[in-house]
Parts: sequence; structure tokens; C-alpha cells
Amino acid sequence: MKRAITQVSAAALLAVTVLTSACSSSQEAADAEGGKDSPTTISILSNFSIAQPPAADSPITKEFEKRTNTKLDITWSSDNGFNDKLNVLLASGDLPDLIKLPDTTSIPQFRTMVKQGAFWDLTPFISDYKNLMETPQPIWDKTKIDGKNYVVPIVRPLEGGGTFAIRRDWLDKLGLQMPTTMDELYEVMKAFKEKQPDGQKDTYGYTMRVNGLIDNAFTGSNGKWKLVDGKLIDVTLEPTSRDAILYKKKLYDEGLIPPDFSVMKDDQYWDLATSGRAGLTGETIEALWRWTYDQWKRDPKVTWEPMVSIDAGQGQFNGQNSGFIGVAAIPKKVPEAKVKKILALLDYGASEEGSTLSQYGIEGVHYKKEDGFFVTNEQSVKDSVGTGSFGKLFMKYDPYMYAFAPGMPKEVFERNKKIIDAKSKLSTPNPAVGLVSETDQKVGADYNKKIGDLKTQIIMGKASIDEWDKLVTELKQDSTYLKIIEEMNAAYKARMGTQ
Amino acid sequence: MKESFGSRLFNSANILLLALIGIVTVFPLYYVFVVSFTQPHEYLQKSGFVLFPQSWTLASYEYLLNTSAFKNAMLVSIFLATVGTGLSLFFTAAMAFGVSRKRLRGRKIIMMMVLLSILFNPGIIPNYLVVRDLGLINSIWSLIIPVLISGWNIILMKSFFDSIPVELEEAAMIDGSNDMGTFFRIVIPLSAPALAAFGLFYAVGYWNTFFNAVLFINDYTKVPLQIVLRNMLIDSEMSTGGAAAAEMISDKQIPSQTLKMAAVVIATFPILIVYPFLQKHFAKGVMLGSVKG
Repeated sequence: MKRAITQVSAAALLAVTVLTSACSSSQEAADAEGGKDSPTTISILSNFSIAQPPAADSPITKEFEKRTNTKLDITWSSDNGFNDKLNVLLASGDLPDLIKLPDTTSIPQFRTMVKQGAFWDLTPFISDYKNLMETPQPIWDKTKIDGKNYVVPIVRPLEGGGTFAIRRDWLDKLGLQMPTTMDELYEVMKAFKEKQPDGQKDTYGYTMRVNGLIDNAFTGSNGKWKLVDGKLIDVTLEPTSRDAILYKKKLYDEGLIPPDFSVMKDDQYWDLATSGRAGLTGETIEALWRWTYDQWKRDPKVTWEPMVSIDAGQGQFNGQNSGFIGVAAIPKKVPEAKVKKILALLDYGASEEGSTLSQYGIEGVHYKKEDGFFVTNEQSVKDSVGTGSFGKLFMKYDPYMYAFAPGMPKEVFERNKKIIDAKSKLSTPNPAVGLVSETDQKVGADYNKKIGDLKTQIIMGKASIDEWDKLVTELKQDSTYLKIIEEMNAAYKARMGTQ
Repeated sequence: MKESFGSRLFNSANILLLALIGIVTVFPLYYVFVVSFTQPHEYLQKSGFVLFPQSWTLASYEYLLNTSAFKNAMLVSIFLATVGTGLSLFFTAAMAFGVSRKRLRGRKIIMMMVLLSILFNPGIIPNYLVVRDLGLINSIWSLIIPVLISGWNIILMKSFFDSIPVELEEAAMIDGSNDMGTFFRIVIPLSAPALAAFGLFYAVGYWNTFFNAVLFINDYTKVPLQIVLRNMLIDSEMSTGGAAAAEMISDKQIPSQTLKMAAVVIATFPILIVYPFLQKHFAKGVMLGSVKG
């Protein structure tokens, strides 16, 4: 009997062994390649944000390999779970040759490893790559760690991010001017609701998508941190934040915003905007076109116009983008010669040619040029070309990139370019990009949730504004909270010192 | 005997209440189902509240089923739910049977180890390291082997096997059956209800495989359905850039909502239809009359 049991377990063990070995063998790709002119194999981890990533034998990957004499082994991980995957890879030390990260701050493990010397300091190398050096200096500065370039930023335009967008045709119909202050904006919203420019009853003023735009206008800061006399201050504690809450409360009380704004999903905001039930929304310039494209095709009179800026007592305000959507780092285990190869690859990606290849694909196969515009076809969708995949790695700095979206008529593109030019003259950067406070990483999210929740409650009338005053007084005495402000300032000073 | 007025009132109130709860439970499913077949423009016109669509369309389903990533993922998920469930059931039953027999030496230690694996989860990173060192990264087996046996199910199944009388086994042995024979010809057939229940647990688990696939699978042609659904419906919607994404959306003109619902239906339906087939096993008794006293 004992023997029989041994047999069973032996059989089970065998089965597991067979299963294990049968599947592992297939993936052992030949990695070792030598020789002078043979292509360099580069393994890459990147994210993607479209329906499906490029296939392993994608013609774009092939084209990149051909033009840079490399052999690319790209692992595409979708945005959800990307940070988990990153954390696991960092912790296990199982890193590819080039690794994409969301930024330099949000993955604490990465910073620790940089401090431990697990990644290449690219500062001595990058000046040799002229396409990479075309990235504006502020973007390089924002991605430095301790004054050194451990990462290459994957660039995006500084202008053209989330902004108010307004129905120009409604303004014209009601004989109104483009609003320039928050008070005028309120009057416009009221007119949209009451005068029903499209004859519909259930019209709101503002969809409330990106409702932080209102806060930013009031505080005059791009987010939580504002630079005053060379110091970072937290605008949550400023009276201007209170004004923003009261403004939103007024909108809520008068039915100018959807009553369930706080739980709405992106597509619900879009539905409101594109079905003619709201005259103001928040959107990036390029996405504004994409989401309203159908509406415009149904009714050519519909004109959504991005607003340049708005004044809520802090001067005309417009927030600036960070200028990058991610950063790429090279682990120290990669030999120096290969580091140069990898940088050359990224440099090619930042060239006119490489950037076109990554965004639009191969001429004649994925796009044709018409009137200076790239017109993409079905094949480009099938091969997953574009900013959602290859653009996550390879991109040239183009200030007007967000002015354009496929299918856009030339007039709209030209108008958008003008808006972006106007924005760039007065836009405010977020001074905290790339700065880290350890305390903030530990407990910051809890504070932000508490603050955000109370704001929503006050706007919806579930709490009184007195509770806000109480919270601000409490925060001003909360030593942990004050420590975050202190640490952010220390980080800011350290950065200014190294520049 | 005539029911009193009070008890009839109580009964009708009960029925009413339960019916209400039933409607509340079924309604979301019905809504999802209906929206998935609705024409996109009708969905928009009615501000998203469609109860009886005027026109039915399969557009959302066609769109989903024509995407190559979706087809691959469907196959992967079906493979996981069938092969994975089969293997899991076999190994769970085999191990549970082993530890349920008193003559197995060291069964207490084995059970202790099983218990420990339930109490102390090693966490993501050790898991990843083990899978990597087994050479399973990027293999579909990395979605099966690490979750092959659930400690909790072993304990449940062991107590089920404990109830199989040892006399039955002895009788089989007298008739010349060895342990393997007893396991396959006596124990397994007797355990149909338990196997059905655990099979459903495992199948649901495999069908919903998500996080392990995020960690272990790099090749997009090998990811299961849940990952593809999520990419299609949540992530691609949030992307701010993308010629390809924009083209896809504007050409097909299917708003995400009807697509989403169709995806939910596809993701739920297979498991929903498995359940009624297993239902009879849940209800049936087991050992009736197998041992004569």
C-alpha cells in the first residue's frame, strides 16, 4: 500500500515537471548576439493605452530595427497594472535593458534603486544626442534626480492640456462675448441654462469635467503647489481655495452643473457635452476634437472652442503641462556600449523621421500625406500605430502636437495653433513636478482624500463652509501636514541649488 | 386546515418583498443585456435609459468578436476555464483524498503546511520570483500552476472525503482494487456533487484571471479575456493621444457604453450558463444506501 501511494505522488510530480518544462522551452529566445555589425538586441518594457498593443512582428518595430540596427524585444504592458508590474520587476531585479516609468517620483522603489546606483547616470552621454537635446531644458530639469539625468523624458507638448472649452456657436447665438473672468463665465453658464440655445430644457452650464480648472483659476496655481517668493506654498490653506468652493457651490445650487457630478464617469461627461446638454466642458485641445467629431459631423454649426485663459482675481490663468508622459531609464547591468546604442535608439525616436514613424507609421502603408496632413488608414489601427503605443517611447518635441487630431479640418488646426501660441505666453507650470516628500508619499493621499471629500460635501450642501475653515485651521497645526510642506520646500531648494 | 388571516397577510407580504428583491437583483442584468443590443444613437437619444430598445443590433458584438486580440483572449480564457479547472479538480481531489485517509503517514504535517499557506500569503514578489525561476514567465501555465490547488478547497474536500466510510474502501480492496482504482472508480464517482461545486469555484476563478496575467504574461496574444476587456473599455478610453485610438472610435461610431455592456455580457455569460448544468449536483444527496449496516 505504501508503494501505491508513492506511485501516485511520483506520477503527480512527473506530471507537474512535464507541464513545466514543456512550456518554458518555447520562450527561451536566442539573446546572445555578438559581432560588430550585427544588430544589438535591446529588451524594453513599455506601457500602452489603446485597445491592443503592437504585435511582436509589427512592421513599425521592424522598421525601427532596420533603421537603427537593433533587434527590439518590447514587452507592452497595458496601463492598468503597469505600476504593479513595474514594482514587481524592480523588486525582483529582473529588469529589461530599457525601462519605462510613469515619472521619477511616483514609484518610491525606483528612487531608492537610483540612490543605490542601480541605474545609469546618463548626464555625461545625453549631450551627444542632438535630437534628444531638442527637448526643452525645463523638461530635462523636471526629470532630474539629485541634479543628474538618470532618465530620458518621453516628451509631450507643454501647452494644450486640460482647459475650458466652450460652445462658440451658442455664444454667438445668444450674442455673448467670450468670457474672460470667472464672473463672466458664470453669466454665460446661466444664459446657457436659461435661454436654451438649442431648445432643450435640461441644459447645464458646465459638465464639471476637470473641475479642478476652477480651483486652479482661483488659486492661480497649477495644482496644489504655488511658487511665492521662491517658496512653495500649499494653496489648500489659502483663502482662494475657499472662494473656489463657494463658486462651485453657487453653480451647484443654481443647477448649472450636473447634480451627480462627483460620481460621473468620463463618458458621461462626454455624453453631456456631445449631446448638446452642456455648453462648457474641460478637455485637452486634441481630445476635444476627437470627442466632438461625431457631433460636428451631425451638425456642422457646432463649434467647440478651447479657451485660452480665465481670470478669477489672480490674473489670466492657464496651466502648463509637465511636458512629459513618462521617463525611460537604463539599469546599471547594461554595458556602456549598449547604453549608447539604446540612447541612439531613443535619439532616433526623437528625430523627425523616427517620430513620424512612431506616430503615423510607414508612408503608403499606414498613412498618406494630404495637404500637409497625415491621413491614417485602417492598417494603422490594425498595427496599433500611434501615440498610444509607439508614442509612449519615441516622440519628438512638437509644441503643436495637441493642436491636431485625425480628421480635423485645416481651419480648426490653424485656430488651435493660435490658441496654443496665446496660451504659451501666460501659462503657469506646476513647480512640484519631480519633487518628492517622503511624508507625502506615505500619508499624502489620505489628506488629499479628506480635503477632496469635504470640498464635494460643501458644494453639494451636505456640509457647511465652516467645516472647511475648521479643517484649514487644523491642517495649519497638524505637524505631519506641515512636514509635507517643509519637505517639498527642501526638495525644491535642493533642485534650485543643483541647477 | 384553513390559514389564518394573519399568516396569509404575512405570506403575501413576504412574496411581495421577495419579488421586489428579485426584480432589483435581476434588473441590472437585464439592463446590461438590453443596452448591449441597442443602437448607439438610440442609447444617446434616450440619455442612457433604454428599457425596450426599438431596434436591436449586434454591432457591438461584431466589433468585439472581430478584434484579433479579443479572439485570442477568448481562446485563452476558455483554455484556462476547461483545462485549468480539470487539472485543479484532479489535483485537489487527489491530495484531499490522500490526506483524508488515516493510514497516510505525516498527514498532519501536510495539513499543517496547507493551513500555513492559507494563513500566510507570501505576497506578490516571492510569487513572481518562484514563477520566474520555474521558467514560467510568459507561459500560459503561469496562470494555472500557481493557482492549481487552493488550500481552502483542500480542507473542504478533505472533510467531504472524511465522510466516505472506510468500509466502502475496504470492500473495494477485498474485490481487488488498489488505491488508484479506489480513487478513480469509487471516490471520484461518489464525489460528483463536491466536484461540481469546486469545479464551479475553480472555473469562475480561472475565467476571472486578471492580476496574475498582468504580472506573468508579456505577450499580448496570450493574455486572458479580462485583460483585453479592460484595455478595450477602460484604458483606451482614457488615452489622451493617439491617431489609432481616435480612428478606431470615430470610424466605428460605437460609443463605449453599448460596447461596454456587450463586453460585460460576453464576460459573464459563459459562467452564467455553466451554473444551471451544475445545479442538479448541488441538490442531489450523496451516499444514500452505499453501506449496509
